[in-house]
Amino acid sequence: MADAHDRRTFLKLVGGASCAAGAAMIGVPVATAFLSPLGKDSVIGASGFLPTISADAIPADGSPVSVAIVVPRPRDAWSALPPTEVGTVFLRREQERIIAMSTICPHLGCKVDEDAANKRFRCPCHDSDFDLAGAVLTGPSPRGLDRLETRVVDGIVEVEYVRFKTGTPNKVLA
Amino acid sequence: MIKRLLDEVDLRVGYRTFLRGAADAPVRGGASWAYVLGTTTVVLFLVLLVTGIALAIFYSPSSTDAWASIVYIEREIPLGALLRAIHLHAHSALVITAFLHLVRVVLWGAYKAPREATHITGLILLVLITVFSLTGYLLPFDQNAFWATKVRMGIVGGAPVVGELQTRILLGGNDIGNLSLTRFYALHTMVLPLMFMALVALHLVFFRRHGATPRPKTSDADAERATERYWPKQAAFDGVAALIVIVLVLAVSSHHPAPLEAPADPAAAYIARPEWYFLFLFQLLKYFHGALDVVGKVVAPTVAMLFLAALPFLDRAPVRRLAARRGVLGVFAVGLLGMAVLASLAVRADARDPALAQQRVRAEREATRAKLIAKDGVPVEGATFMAANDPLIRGERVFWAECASCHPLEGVEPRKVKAPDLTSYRSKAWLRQVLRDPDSRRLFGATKVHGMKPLTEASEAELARLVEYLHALRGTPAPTAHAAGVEALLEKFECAKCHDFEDDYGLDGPALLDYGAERWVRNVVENAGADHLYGKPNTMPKFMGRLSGRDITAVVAFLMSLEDRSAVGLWPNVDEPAPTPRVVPTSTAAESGG
Repeated sequence: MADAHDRRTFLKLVGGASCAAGAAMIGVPVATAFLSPLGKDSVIGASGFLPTISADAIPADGSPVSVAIVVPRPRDAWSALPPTEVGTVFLRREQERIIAMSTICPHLGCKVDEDAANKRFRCPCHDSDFDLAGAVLTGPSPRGLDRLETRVVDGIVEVEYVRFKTGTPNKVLA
Repeated sequence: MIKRLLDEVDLRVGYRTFLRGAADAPVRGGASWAYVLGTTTVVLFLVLLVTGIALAIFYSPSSTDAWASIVYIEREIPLGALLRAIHLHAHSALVITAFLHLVRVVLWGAYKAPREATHITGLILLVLITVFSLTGYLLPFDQNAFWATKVRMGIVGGAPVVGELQTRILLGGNDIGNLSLTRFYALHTMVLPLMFMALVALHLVFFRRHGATPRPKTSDADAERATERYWPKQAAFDGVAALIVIVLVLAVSSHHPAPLEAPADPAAAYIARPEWYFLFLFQLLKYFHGALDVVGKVVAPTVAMLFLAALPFLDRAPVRRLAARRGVLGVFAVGLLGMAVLASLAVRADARDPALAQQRVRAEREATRAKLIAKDGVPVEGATFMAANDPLIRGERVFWAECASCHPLEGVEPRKVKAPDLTSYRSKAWLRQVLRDPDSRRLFGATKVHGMKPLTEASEAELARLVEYLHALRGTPAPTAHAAGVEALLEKFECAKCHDFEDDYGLDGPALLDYGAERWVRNVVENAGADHLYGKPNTMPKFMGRLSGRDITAVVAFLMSLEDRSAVGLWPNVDEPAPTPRVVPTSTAAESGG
């Protein structure tokens, strides 16, 4: 009787272990696929400074212009795309310097518009207002508009286009 | 603690009753290894389901992106290539287990009353298994997928009256394109799995109602007496069998990746072949011509399926002993034998087909090249566009279409060799051969361009210096004879008597200014008979005006690449006999598939 009991236990073990082993063997590549490509960027846009407009085209009176950021050959997983607009920035003169500000609202990522009549920037989603230097005037935005690095090469303003995390009081690269 | 928790759960959902129902299910005749085929088939289906879902989260069913997304899976996803291989080979394994299951059912008479419904649902499942494969075959959207599906649509479209309607519905239009891929994808990943699962459930309900059919020799009364519960013995058998099959599938998958040819291209003909389990049907197609062709396409497979479906009604006596059912079993055996013979004939014919062997080499090279350039991203115009416009892929296609009828290349010889062998063209070995023996059968001996004196009395060192010089002429700037220190040699062997090394001036031989450079090769392709090239004796057609500028650029790029191809047939030393040609191309590649 003990023999029969042992035999049953053995069979139960074999049945259970086979299922577990089979599931694990198939499970590993499947789970890996589900978690991929975690460590890698799948959509690759800008890197480094990208050319925008001629420095002469930026008004001397300090009013802002909105310009498109064009990435020459962005990647999206397996696709290599033609030159594509990936966003816009505000350019304006601040004394002698040319500054660039991201148009991505630091609150939740909506697009910030220029409110020329009131000489300010305005996010239409949750009513955050910013002055022309980018500082928060009113509304929920946790920080001012994000400044981007600029330089002028052969008269053309180049901007280093990066994105920052939204919702945080400090600028943190996204 | 855990037990109390489970008690509480069970009180609410009653899972124990459910599990006990499954565990205590009676196995008529007792647990047996012969009963594992059904469960193993279901386990393989589950493997296909989960690997299929994992592939689906990357796959893109569109004619521009499908191929590229598969390359992405293979290159960027860890174990992605293995995943594809498992999905492919698990289906082959499932075809085998399902088929063996059917063989057992027929041998043991398991289809007999009252199990007709079980039998017929099983046969429908078998049909679904083949439809899974037909729909899945298109999805990688490579050359094989495209051309095999073309042939299959030809078969479907050949049906009387409804043919056209059928292909339009299947393809989602008049030809293979985006709508065919979305349709095949939806069928393959949604419609068929749902149908399959529903039918498996039904099959199991019917099976549970009547129980397993014991061995033919075992009487029903004996079988009842020997009945055991499913858990644990039969469960252990099933588990071990499934594990063995999974291990086998993994072993095969890690050694044989799923193939991926160059992207589908309607403009580049390809000899497609079906999966191994359809080879018998494919072979059958070869025997029925003209009006009879419907026999191979439709009648024979339909009759076979109807015969299987009709078994319970043909073989009605309750007796299940083999000896008492010789007629039915004989027909079945003849059918199996026929399938095996047809499949092996197909394999034999393909193994002996030189056109197929040649295509295999070229297809592999195209595939490797296409995957390599896809690394930099596939353009929005799609993978087909990308491959068709790659100079090397396009150039090689142009070469085989336009040049290979006269020029041998890498062991492939035309029926009548009329031009120099271009294997490792422009390499030092090739140049050396031209100097040593320009009129050999593998060089200008095959043409009407003659008259160059072979440098038979040149020493190895002299030959090497001349080869070095000729090889350097393609450079910018090209070295002068003086700078290269070969003035004396050119003098000694009277080279400059016939060849102009400083200008495009036509003497008796071709001018060798920038010899071997892109411009020189292009000039030969465009007009080899020009005065400064091979002149009057030349018989090579003028390809300028005959090929588009794009094709000329491509074929020139291809010719330029021949020097570095270490793959096949490097030029032998002059004293060695020419290699015997491996394959002889046929003029047109017949398109066929299953």
